[in-house]
Amino acid sequence: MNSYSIVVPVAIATVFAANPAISATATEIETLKKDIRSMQKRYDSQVSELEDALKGLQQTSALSTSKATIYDNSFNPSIGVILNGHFKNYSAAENELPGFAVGHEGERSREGLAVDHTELTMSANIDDIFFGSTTIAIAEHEGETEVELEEAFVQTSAGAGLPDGLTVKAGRALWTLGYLNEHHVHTDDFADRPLPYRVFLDGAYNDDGVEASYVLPTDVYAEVGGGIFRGDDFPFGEAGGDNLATWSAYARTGADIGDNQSFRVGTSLLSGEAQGERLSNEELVSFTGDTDLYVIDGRYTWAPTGNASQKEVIVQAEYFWRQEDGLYEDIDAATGAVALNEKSNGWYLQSVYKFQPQWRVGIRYSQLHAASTPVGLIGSALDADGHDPKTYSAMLDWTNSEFSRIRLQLNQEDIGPDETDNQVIVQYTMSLGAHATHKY
Amino acid sequence: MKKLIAYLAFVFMVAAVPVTAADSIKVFACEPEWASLVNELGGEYVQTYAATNAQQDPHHIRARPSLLAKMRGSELVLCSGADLEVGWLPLLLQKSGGKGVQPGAEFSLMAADLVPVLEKPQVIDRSMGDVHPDGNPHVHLNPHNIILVAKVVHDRLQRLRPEYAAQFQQQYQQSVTRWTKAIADW
Repeated sequence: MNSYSIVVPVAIATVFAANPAISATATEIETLKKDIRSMQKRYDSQVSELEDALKGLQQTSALSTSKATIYDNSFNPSIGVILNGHFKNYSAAENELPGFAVGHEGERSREGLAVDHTELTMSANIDDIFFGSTTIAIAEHEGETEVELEEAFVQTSAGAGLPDGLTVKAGRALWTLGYLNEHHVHTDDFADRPLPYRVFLDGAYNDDGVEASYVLPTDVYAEVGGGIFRGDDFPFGEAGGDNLATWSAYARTGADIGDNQSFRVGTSLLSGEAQGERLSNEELVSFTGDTDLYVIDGRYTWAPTGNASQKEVIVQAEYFWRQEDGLYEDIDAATGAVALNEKSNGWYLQSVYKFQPQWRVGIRYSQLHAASTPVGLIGSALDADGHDPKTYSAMLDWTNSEFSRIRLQLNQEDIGPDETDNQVIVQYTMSLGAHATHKY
Repeated sequence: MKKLIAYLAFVFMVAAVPVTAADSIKVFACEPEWASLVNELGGEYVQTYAATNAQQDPHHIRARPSLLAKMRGSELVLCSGADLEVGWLPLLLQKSGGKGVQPGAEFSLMAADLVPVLEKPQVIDRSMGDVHPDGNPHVHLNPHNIILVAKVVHDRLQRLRPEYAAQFQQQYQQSVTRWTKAIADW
């Protein structure tokens, strides 16, 4: 283009220079006009060629931009993976918690370097009225890799036309019970679940069933709910499926105190029956019968500076009370089936302090009170021998981002008369994929 | 008798107040900036709740029990969007949000969707830190954006309470005039 912009005026100047006489003839003017027109034509065609070329370039660049931005997977489920691993060192060879039937998730986990539950979660709105989610955990147990269906549920969303605040959830889920139960283990503030969760719920209660929850239309938060379950998961077992005798109910409330403090308290009941044998203690102890479990939970948070992401204190406690009525048998101790109708309880209290945006320290105390032992079970795994297990824990964790955390935890477990298990745990918990919701 | 008349007069006066608390629009704003915008546009016809205070980082708060209660019955939700509230807002909406305020619904307003968003990245990786695939959610930092958001909020307020359309119109116009002047001065 530049060469033309010079050529045109030069050409015109040349034409005039060659004809200095102002009184140029008509034919001369006509030739001049022709020359200029032909030049104009060439000029125009060159410009349009350039314009075409430019358009082509623009299209290619547009194509490459759209290629770069195809990351949108909003129509696919959100997918998240939790990667967990630890190093654990235990001073005691065994950790049996005498007096209690402990299931496989409630046991002390593997010593040494190990990968914990690797969880894959997929969730999405199914359509305008349903939401669905599933969590599959892959775990190592006694040298075998096991796949566990931790959660697989559907839930009504606001479009379902149910009254506002009412939600129905069906399938398998970490049901509403106490505080920790509905939370995935990787969101816990400590590397392991406190004693009452280990013995009363085998880690967590995630039976198959249906649950309804209702947030009351009050200015202060209040929620009630309840469910009906199959009765297959600890503390129940081997459900025949022909009766719906397992159910739960809960109520909770909570509020803010000023700008920087908040609390939540609740109470729950879980009642049901192990119709067949509920096996525990490496399948050596069986229980058949009824279990009623009552839970009271409370949690208080305080952000001293007003901003919890900078500094925060959390105090949390839960109390469990259980009544069992049925037949216990310790196969290892050859007790035979022994009738038992006893109460036991347990609780924990923990506090976590975030003293730097990325650093937290925490302490926890948890304790169990065993049931008294019927004569037939003396000397078996269910004989606490008057001892109440308790654990002191201290932890320090470092959170690099919302997606990664490394933790050091020390436990001192009083597991039997004159028997202490000192534990050192180093753990990492990381997530990739979907942004996890911070539960309340 | 005088007492009764006085009483009736009082009741009548209370009833004659243009808007009763029950009639005002319940608005859930994720950040205090949006709460004050709604208050400015809605005046006495709105009852606004701000989920966070100015000191808090709205990306890192938790879905507290009090927030669940406030979301319950809210007729309009105004947030920054662009994933700023992704850690807690979806949970509130799922547990206690009404149909009209669910994501994408008429009365769910995400400011980032209403204005041109800056810094929308084309390639994303978590190693870049907590970046938001939908761009920089801090849209309230640009004064021109406020007017764009106000326009939509105004429209929704009118739709929720058409009977007060004239009042909303007046408040909207006053606000816009004031901001335009403020921007010009600035």
